[in-house]
Amino acid sequence: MMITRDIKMADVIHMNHFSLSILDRFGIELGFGDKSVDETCKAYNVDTDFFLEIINAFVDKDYFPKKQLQSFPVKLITEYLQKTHDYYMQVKVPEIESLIEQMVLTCYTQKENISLLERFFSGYKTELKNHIQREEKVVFPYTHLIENAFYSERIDKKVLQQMEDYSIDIFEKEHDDIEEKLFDLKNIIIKYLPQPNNKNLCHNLLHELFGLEKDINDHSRIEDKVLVPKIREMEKGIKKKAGIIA
Amino acid sequence: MPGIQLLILEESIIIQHGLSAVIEKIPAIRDIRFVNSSRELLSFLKHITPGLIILNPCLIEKNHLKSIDEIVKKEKIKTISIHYDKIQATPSIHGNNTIDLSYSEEQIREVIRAELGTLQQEKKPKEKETLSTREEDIVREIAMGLSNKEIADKLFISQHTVITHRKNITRKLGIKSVSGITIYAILNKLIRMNEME
Repeated sequence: MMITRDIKMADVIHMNHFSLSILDRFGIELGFGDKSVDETCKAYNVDTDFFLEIINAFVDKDYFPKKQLQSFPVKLITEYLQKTHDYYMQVKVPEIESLIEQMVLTCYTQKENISLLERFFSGYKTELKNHIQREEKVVFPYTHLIENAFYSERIDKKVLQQMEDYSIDIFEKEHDDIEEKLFDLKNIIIKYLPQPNNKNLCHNLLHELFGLEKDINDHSRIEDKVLVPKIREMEKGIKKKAGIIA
Repeated sequence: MPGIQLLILEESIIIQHGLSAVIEKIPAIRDIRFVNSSRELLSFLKHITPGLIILNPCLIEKNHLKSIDEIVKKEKIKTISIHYDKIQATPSIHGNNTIDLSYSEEQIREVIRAELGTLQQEKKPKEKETLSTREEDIVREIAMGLSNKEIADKLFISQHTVITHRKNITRKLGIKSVSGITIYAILNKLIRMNEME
């Protein structure tokens, strides 16, 4: 079911409770009573259309009217992406780490194997951190530069030089598959790890991994299908303006 | 055999209904869907991979042709063209079987069965999901941190063979990364923990 501006915000959570994390990123807090999506967004100063696109893309992975989403400013998109980064590093990853830590502590049947998972996840964390840093230090600033240049009257030579050095195509090429190791970890636990004595913790861990993977998938989808095509169009526009291409 | 999904690209409602009446009698076909334009076909293919497409080549717009053809080739989708009386340019969509509108019911089914036949044969040899002894050897070497070239030299096989083995290992285990494969190797006692490093 598609989420529209008129349905109750409470029902959005009832439909898919994973949406909670999305609301959090927009700064929307629980306790919205019977307010609609639109009313809630307005109360929190959130662009309702942008919220709707993000939440629908999250709830239904086949939903993707990229044309509509593409009309939002680049800043809005990168701000959202930035918030998801914070959510991974400050909330989700520590949660998963502490679950694994508890598992190691309370496991007496196969401590050694669980320690392997711990090491594996710590390797993943480093990978994720590098990935995020690269986006925040290189990619996002570049997209802002392009957006500013696109809307300005005259094209600065410096911008053109920077476009020579880096382009969104490079980002797309090096944008690696950051979900890969999560996928592996899930499969190791589901298929190959003999069930440990503290199985509830193990189930919780699996649940968390599924959640994080879904979230990261959604995140990459927005980068690849919204941000990249938008910036590519703008790059073209700038080159046209500067007379580099016809 | 879970049944094959069939997609029909055709705008004439009469031909749509006619074809589905004929095709419904083929038990291997699980599901028939219709699309009216090549744009619709393309967006459909982005989400779902049918086993077979029957298409009216006149409906494929030039600017969609390449993308459709690429997907068809990549996903190994079978295609059959509908052939009309009037003269038409031959489509460059992969696959050459055609259904002529003057065919009898049985002839049409025969063309489709012939295409499906190759489909069913091609799907068979994928069954075994456990690692072969050779693949276990490779897993052991990957876990020890060897590169493709080092593995090839050590086991006296070509790098190409190593890569093929690795692809199969990843598919069978559902594990892609080297560190993931290492954990698998330890859990399954292919290597001991102190053997690494």
